[in-house]
Amino acid sequence: MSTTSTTFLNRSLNNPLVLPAGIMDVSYSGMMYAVENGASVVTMKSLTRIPRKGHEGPVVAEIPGGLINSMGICNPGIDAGLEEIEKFKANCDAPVIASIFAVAAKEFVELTASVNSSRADFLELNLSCPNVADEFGVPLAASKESVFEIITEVKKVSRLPVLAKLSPNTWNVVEIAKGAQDAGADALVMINTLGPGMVIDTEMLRPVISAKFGGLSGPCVLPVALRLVYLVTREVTIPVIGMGGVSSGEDAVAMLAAGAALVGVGTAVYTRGIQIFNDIARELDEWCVRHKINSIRDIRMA
Amino acid sequence: MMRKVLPLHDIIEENASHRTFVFKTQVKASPGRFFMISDLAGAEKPFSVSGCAGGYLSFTVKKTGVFTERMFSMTKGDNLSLRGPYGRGFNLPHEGAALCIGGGCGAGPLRYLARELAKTGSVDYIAGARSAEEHLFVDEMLSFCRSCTFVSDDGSLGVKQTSIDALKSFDLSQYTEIFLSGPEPMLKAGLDFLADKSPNAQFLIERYMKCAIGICGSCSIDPLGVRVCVEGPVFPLVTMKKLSEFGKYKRSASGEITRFGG
Repeated sequence: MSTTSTTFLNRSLNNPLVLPAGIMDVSYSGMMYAVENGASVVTMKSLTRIPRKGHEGPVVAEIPGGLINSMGICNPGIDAGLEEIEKFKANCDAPVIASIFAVAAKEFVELTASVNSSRADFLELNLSCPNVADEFGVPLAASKESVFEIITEVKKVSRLPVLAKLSPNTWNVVEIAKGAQDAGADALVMINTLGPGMVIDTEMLRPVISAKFGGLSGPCVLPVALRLVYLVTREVTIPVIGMGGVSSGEDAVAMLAAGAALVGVGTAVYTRGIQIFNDIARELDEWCVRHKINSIRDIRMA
Repeated sequence: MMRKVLPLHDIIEENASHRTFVFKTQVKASPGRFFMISDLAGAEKPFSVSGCAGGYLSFTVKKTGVFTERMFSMTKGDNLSLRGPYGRGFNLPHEGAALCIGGGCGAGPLRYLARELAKTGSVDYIAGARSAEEHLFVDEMLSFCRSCTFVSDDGSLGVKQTSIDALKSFDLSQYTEIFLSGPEPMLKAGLDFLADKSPNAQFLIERYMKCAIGICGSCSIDPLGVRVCVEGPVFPLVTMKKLSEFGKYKRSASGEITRFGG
């Protein structure tokens, strides 16, 4: 048994590293590439009922310590997206999280019915995309009532364990997390990107991102992610996939110490390269050896 | 990732549909690499470098859509936002003879590549285009390449055939490296022709790109999942043979699959 092996909702995993929604996950081959490079769970890009082209570029802007991005939930639609998951599963054993995005419980339930008939392992409800507020209003994850209602309705029909992806951009994250658990969520995924924020080009005096605003990610959001994962895991018993700025084995140790069961790595795929999942797994193992800890499952705050 | 706003130093009208946009900058990029260029007004697209020397950086652009139309309405001094350079460019041999094969707008990055190759070796050049009018850099390539073979779809320049048809009469054993850049059907024909001959060959390919920094997955290519923006846009023949999607289909802005020639 390796130091980095763990379990999540009854699945055994070689390491705790997750490819989050929105990272290299529009196609089966992109997700397989992440697995070949060490990710043990992958998430398919959040799927909507019909295809979405997403926002025009620029969709990303670099800032000191991170990125802002606003993709606009570009995705091939639920049917084509689930076909990608089938192709992934035909080639690869790694668990897949099917992420879905909608704006009302009824549509979430319809999408859930589609995911039920796929070979996905887990269902993620994206309740927290910060980049489509112009189109859809404030993210659902801002309202405890909305989160509770949607998860309750989805749980009635979902064949798969249900994961709720939460937003950091509200004062009552702990209350919302408790509401998600009360509604029957099997796990939480947090945090989605922070903000959103804005970068203004001072030569052209225009926003650098075409959607004007974009969610913040990267090392600069890690302290916020750690705090929220820490606070939420004191109050809920369901597992949490912690993400937000994790770029190294030590960052992953901190996320696990804060209370996360698994750790997502996104923006660092850019800063450190695709082999980052293997790198972080190795760094986690080295940390365990150095600290005479047999398993990452024993990492907790002193 | 470096992003810079630069004024257009010069705009060269190559023909009715192609212009070269020149920036004065110390920013450098090797042949085959690309930049994301935007007017910060709702569009950003990838462009391969078509020239980089003496403090100038050039991009040869074909008018194909809304953004390139806006670029064609710009004048000297207008600002554009550039981020890059991105991707893996061509791997240049240190010596010997190289063969560059271009189609259409693919002549842009090959022009820069051939200039670099000609510094240490000799370059033979094959270029195809719809017509004489559509050919790029004819006089320039003739001025420094060992040989140039121009062909066209309508026979208005050179033999009426494709660049890959022209390639078939070349003795490949004389080249240390072969480089291809152009539209996907042309590259696919080149790939099919070269596959079992296994020369050292490199292909510059295109996919829909959004982030260009390897995170969004838009340009991942089946079945390897390699990202055209990071592991590409230049791939060696050995990798190209494994990219089963190449020449058959690609993914659009939404990620939906669209087939070539369908």
